[in-house]
Amino acid sequence: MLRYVLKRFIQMIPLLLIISFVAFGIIRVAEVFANADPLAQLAMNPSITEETLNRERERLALDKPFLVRYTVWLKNFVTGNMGESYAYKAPVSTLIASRLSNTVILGLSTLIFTWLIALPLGIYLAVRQYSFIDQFFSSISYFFMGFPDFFLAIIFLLLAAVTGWFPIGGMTSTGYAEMSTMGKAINVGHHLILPTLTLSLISIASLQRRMRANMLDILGEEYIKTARAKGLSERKVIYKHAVRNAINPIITLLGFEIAGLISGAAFVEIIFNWPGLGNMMLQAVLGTDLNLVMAGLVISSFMLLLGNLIADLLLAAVDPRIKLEA
Amino acid sequence: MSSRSLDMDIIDSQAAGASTGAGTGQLPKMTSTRAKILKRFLRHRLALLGLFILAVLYLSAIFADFLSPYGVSSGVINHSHFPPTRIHLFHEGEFKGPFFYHVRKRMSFGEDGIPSQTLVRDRSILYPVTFFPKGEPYKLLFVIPMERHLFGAGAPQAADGTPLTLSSEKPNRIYIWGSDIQGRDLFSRLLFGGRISLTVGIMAILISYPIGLLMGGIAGYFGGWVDTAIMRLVEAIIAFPSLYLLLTLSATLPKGLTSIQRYLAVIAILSFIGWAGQARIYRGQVLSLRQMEYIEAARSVGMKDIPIIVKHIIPQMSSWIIVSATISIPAYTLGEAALSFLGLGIQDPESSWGLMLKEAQNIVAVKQSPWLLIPGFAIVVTVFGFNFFGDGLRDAFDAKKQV
Repeated sequence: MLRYVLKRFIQMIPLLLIISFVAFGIIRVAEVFANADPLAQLAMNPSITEETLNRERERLALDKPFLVRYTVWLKNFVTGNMGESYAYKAPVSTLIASRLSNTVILGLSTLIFTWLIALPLGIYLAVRQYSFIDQFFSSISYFFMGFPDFFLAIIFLLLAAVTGWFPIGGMTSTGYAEMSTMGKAINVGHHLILPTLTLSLISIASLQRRMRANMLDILGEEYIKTARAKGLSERKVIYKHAVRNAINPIITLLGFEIAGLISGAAFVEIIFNWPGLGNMMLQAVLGTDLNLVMAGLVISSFMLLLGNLIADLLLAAVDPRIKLEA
Repeated sequence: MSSRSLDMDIIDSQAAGASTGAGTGQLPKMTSTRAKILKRFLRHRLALLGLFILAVLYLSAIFADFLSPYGVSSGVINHSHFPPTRIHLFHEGEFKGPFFYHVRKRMSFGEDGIPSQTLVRDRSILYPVTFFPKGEPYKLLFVIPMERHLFGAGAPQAADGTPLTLSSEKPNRIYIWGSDIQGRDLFSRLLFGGRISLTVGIMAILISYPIGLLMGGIAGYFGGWVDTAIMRLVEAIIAFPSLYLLLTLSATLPKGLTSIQRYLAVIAILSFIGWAGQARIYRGQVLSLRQMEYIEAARSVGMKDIPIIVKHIIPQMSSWIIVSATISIPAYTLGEAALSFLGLGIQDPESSWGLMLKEAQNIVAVKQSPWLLIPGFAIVVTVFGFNFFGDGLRDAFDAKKQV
């Protein structure tokens, strides 16, 4: 197991190299085409002298050829130095760490909410196949699966503004610093409701459909007939035999959802002004904060790869037929 | 189009072969595969609804300049956030034909100092709704020069029909779906915006699909280091979270692009992201097709690799390509909407639905002027149109599902 994980991490290295190279290439294109100056934000700061600018230019090897610059960047990045965000006047690594944790909070709450609703719903609808409630939910799911996330976010934000039940965007209220720990948690939780709901509604729709389809497949199996023939109660047939088998393929989705949430949440973060990675990325692009853009791209891709790895590990954990070969 | 003529010219090889085998003259129920597909499609009610939605949307975009009362960028400064014009037929019980009353905007300051506007309806000034009035000149279908629009607002008049001249204010215009912050007609901008929002997806598919197919085809067909090189690049592009990549790519656009250049640049960005997924799926398909006997046969008669890919492998997958292209169009449409919504795609004074929806980011404005959400519904309707249509196509092509 450990060997397998290690092997997967080693396999990730060349891919991450290519990813960072492509990202670096795109930034370079931005510099040439769009005249994006990596030091633009720094130069705007009146307290920065020409000397500091030159030193920074030298450190990033800005006047060197592309490949040299890339290796300089890579060397810095690997040693944990992702450079500085000139707009935020802070090291990129600390910025990303704090933003990433906010994205993870939103992602986790969405994940938990989605799974708590979607799995029971899928099971229930499979048992009541073709009933009115089944057809009702399948049309609702179809609707939400096609509904653009950012428009749903705007509608929810409007709901917040009209009813006043929820805060209008952000992660904390004013006066957050003076609150007790409990009060802080409640405050963040209150801000979390609408973004979570936006992201969840769309993923519940698809997850519920899959769970239902899996359940229907399993319910048609011979061993379910056997279990019923033995005279087991319907409850046992469903929860002990069917659900346990139907849930396996869904577990793999968990990993992919972790990955999907990072990219999927970006838009919702922006609209709800949630201080996550996606929101930071937009600000970085708008402010030509190229160090931040570069690190954001690489780190978020790494998170995606990590999500895929978790998916594989989870599947191996729940399905004894699958053996991870190192 | 009669189904009979369609039957005749698209009988495919299978059906033709079967009929010659059965002998000439008697053709009991000869339906070609494609006629069957068409039949299956026509039986799919949602698919027909999707087709209808798409037809309405595309026609309205094509004839945008005729259907819209005003031009894409024509605004009146004082008319920001005018509500949808209320059309009346009767003035004090007397039939007047379609007309609307003059509306005046008053700014007032609430107790909290927040300005709010109230609208006062002036029932002494009437505007008839006119049909086929002269307006901004345009070229119908980009060719025929015309001045007439479908409808518009007439000159202000009193209740008895005598023309009025307004002393201190501009005459009202007809805003059937309200106006935006710059006093531009939302309905007109929506129609013009459709020209961009509805074509971006198709254009991007037309670019990204051939690239994806070719790269995937080459990777799957040749294997070896070519495969490795292409697929690593594909994996890298897929590994980026799409919105992050979209944002970064938009940073490569120079500042002073003309609107048409910007439109093309948005398409290029979307295609750059889109081809990779296609290449990966296509490679898998080619890997399995490569083993087929007819490919070996083609190779044994001395056919070169690229012609085999283009002539034998791609046609084999044509129905799959059509279906998957249709299904993936909404993703591109949403990509454009996302970019423009964030202010990184199409720019004012041009119009696109994502750009129009950008105004809805200001929640206070939307609360007062909910019609600003209309472009969002246009996007939703388009996405559903394509989803319905695509699902229908997929089911129609998937013969197994019928059995």
